[in-house]
Amino acid sequence: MDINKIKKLIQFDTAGWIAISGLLICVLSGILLAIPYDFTHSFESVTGILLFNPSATLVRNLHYWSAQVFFIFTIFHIYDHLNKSTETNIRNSRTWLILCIVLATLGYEMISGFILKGDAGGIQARRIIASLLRNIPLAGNMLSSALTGSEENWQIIYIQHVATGTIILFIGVYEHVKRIWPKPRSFALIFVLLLLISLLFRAPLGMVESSQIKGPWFFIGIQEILHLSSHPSYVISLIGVVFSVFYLIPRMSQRIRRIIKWFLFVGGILYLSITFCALLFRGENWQWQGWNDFRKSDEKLVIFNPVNLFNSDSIVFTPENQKKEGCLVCHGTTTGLSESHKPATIGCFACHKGDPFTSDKVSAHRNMIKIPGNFSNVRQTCGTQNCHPDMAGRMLNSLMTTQSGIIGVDKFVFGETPSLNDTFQVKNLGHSAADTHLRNLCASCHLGNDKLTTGNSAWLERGGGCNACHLHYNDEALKSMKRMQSKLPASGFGVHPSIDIQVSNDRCKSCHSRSGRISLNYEGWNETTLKASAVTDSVHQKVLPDERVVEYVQSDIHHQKGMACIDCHGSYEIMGDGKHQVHKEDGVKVQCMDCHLAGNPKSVLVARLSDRESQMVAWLRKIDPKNSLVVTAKGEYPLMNTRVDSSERIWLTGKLTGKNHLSKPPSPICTKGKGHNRLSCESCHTSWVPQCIGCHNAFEKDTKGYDLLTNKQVTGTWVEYAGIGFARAPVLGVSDKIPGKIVTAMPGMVMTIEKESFGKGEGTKFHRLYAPASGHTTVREGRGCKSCHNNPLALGYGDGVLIYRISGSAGKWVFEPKFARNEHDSLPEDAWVGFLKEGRLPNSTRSWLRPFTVKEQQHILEVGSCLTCHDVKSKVMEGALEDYSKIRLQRKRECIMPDW
Amino acid sequence: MKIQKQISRKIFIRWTVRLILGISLWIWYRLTRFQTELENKIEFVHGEDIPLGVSYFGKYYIFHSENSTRAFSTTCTHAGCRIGKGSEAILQCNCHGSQFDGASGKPLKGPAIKPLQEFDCSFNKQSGQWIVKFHRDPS
Ligand code: FES
Repeated sequence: MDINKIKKLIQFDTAGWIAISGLLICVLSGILLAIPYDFTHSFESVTGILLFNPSATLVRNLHYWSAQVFFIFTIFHIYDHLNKSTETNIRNSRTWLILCIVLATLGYEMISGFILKGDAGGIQARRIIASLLRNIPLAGNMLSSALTGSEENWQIIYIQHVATGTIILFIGVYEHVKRIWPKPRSFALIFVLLLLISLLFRAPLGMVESSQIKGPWFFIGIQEILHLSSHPSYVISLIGVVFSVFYLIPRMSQRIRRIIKWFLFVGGILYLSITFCALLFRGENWQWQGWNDFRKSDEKLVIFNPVNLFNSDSIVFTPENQKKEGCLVCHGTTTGLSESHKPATIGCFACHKGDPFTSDKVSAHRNMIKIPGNFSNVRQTCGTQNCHPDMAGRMLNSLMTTQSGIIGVDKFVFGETPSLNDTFQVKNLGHSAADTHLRNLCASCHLGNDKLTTGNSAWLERGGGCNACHLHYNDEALKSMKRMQSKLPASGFGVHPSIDIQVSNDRCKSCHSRSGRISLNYEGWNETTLKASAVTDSVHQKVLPDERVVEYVQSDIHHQKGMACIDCHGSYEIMGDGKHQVHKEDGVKVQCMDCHLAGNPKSVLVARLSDRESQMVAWLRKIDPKNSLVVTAKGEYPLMNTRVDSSERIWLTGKLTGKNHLSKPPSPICTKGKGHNRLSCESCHTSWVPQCIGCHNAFEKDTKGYDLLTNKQVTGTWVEYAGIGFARAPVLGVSDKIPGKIVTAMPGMVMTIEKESFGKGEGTKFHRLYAPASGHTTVREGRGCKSCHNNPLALGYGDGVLIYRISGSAGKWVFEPKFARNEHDSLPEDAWVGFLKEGRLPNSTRSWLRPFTVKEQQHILEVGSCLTCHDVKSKVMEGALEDYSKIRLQRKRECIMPDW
Repeated sequence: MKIQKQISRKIFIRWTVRLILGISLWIWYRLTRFQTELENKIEFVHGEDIPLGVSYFGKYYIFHSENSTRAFSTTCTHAGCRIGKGSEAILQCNCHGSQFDGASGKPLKGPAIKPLQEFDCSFNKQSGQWIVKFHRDPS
């Protein structure tokens, strides 16, 4: 077959006649489509067509694809004429005017067809067109009302689309070629082709609540121009200019015509490029998006979804008040979800994606997101504009996602950053020594770590985005999941795991049982170095799912009273406040003093809560709007489970138990005199903290390990050899954040790193950095005077014997450490600071934390020397608490003060 | 005389057509105005306890603070889309990305440059209700 024959076969007719064939098919299919279509419930009727009426689906597809053919071939037809300069054949200016009107009508028909789908894109497109029309001088409002109708009444746009527009198009065609029937052969060929396309590819339909608004493909360029311009009137003027120029073409001289055509051609190419660019790279709220976001978004340009005309399955209808989604035909009776997440209310698509407009099982599950809420999909699922955009945004910056503090400190001890106050993001870890150390040992504890399997998160399965806290499988849901995975008939009906805000302590534990181990401490358990096989006492010892052995010490008073982690820590702490925080204390808002204070608490009425999230929580937890809630001193966040009664007493309700707890004010001793006003509550009321010393880190290039960031096995890993650990009262130090405040500390990074082993450094690096301790082992009874003033552990000297020796009229403090001195800094292994020595820098994992200076140590020990003779309850000591300087001046001759 | 008669008929017809066209346009204009006014003659009532911050009601939203209660249109001043709830006190237009400050209706981020239209929002002591009017009472 020679090339000309092939060309002839492809170019079986002119673009104009192909367009007219498209128009005829479009009109005929439109007449049929009017039967199932209902403009008063446009979206519902279109979804009804797609889900339950295959023949109507075919007709709708045909209507859509034939309209595309009509539109595109009309453009080709115009191009052909302009290219051959045959537009001069139409000398009659009236005919040319009619053709221009036809062109405008064609645009209107295309856009009104898009609008009549009634999805979010359609609804917003109607508003944009109405507003653009209103910008036309003088006749704007009239045109807008006549062509787009009002917000509630779609009758106008429907009538103009099916009647007025169609009539104008036919008049135009007739004026132009004096007949409307194409050659039967062309018509038949185009019909068959369109029928085939329509059988296989569905006409698009978006969701009614989608927040990704682009418009039909030919309008996207205009959308981009609108985005770039603050004055839509410019856009309407531009369209007006293009039409006017087009209208004037036949009257121009040949030279000017050529210039105009060149401009039109270049403009057309430019417009197509803008369209293409915006189509791919504009996402929600017209923000730039990457290729991956485009792939994951709901937008599908061509949807392969063959129409099954012979479908004889008995149709299951979704009830009237349910979402019209194909998924609900099978999963409509799913239970287990709360009111706000029920399929009847939000459907399945909002979270799981897939294809909601088909009743075909395979097509419906294509591109489905099995585990929504992972951060890799959160912007398409939980975090879309209609659901929880704020929270998703905050979470992505929260410390539980970034691991900023952990990374910062680790990089600091490896000498890779000079500052402890930089922000980091775990996803950006590279392959330096510190980064590899983090990848091997720490990088799994962040929420961006995707949950990959169904079921409740296992102990070692950390992360999972929103699921980490909010997804709960009960036994029924687990059984249901197994049934569904077995693919037995009718397995689609079942119990969905719940999505709720009842977050148990276990959710926090798998990550927070590490490092400061607050989750373990809170429940009274201290990690040991024992092997699981060595456990002998099943009451006081237990083995964690990751084989670590813990031993019971003493639990936090709040735990004993039945309080859970979430009873103190609210959403703005856990999910972050939107700021990219550096360390955990920056993220924590609640302080002991918020509930345990002597005066009247700071409070807010539930009805006067100003942030939407707290309003929503109040509604979910059914909190009486007349209640007053405690507001945190730091950041003024409401504590949603508190209540301030008429006597200004504070009540706290357990979020998991519903139990009411009356909050006690601090004991008088806490606020008595000047002696202790620098002490934080924790410094007296923390009973113990876990303390590990002498941890050794080396890179073993032949040992198998994990890259926890990519969840892949690697050869060559950092290995940590733990030293010894104790559970004992915290060390005290000074915070320069709240100048002079006495706070608790614990060993943070007391470790050696064999830099050599990684091949990118020399020798062994030793660090003795203490970290601020947040023990979570609160006790009612504060520690006694001697436990600080006469205790080497509290002062940071480490364990040993601290004695006040008096010989004659001279007193001297002496200290004999229990542990050997470390070869690197000559301090006892468990010390923070040398006995009556200044702390050497760096000594902390925070820039604001430090051990006591020599002067401060002397001051504390001086009181300690009094306590060697005077009873803690003696008048002297009570007086010292009120005003130590005064008591010091009044001391008797036999009082022997230390000689420094 | 004959030519004159012909011309005058032509002119007559032309003017008649123009007149009919003019009258039709005028009727169209009046009809549109009446319809728009009718659609704007709506009032919405709300109970006393409007929560603080932004409360969204489709065509409008109310911003309630300690000192004031104001109602604003949710029609984007850029190209007419309906703006939606953004984050906290920010309203977001998903058509081209404009953002508005909920408290004042002022645009925070373009392309919109004009503030949102404010509706009349007053408290009726007798009924104990807030009334939002889309039109302004002639005063
Ligand atoms: S219509 Fe709101 S930004 Fe354009």
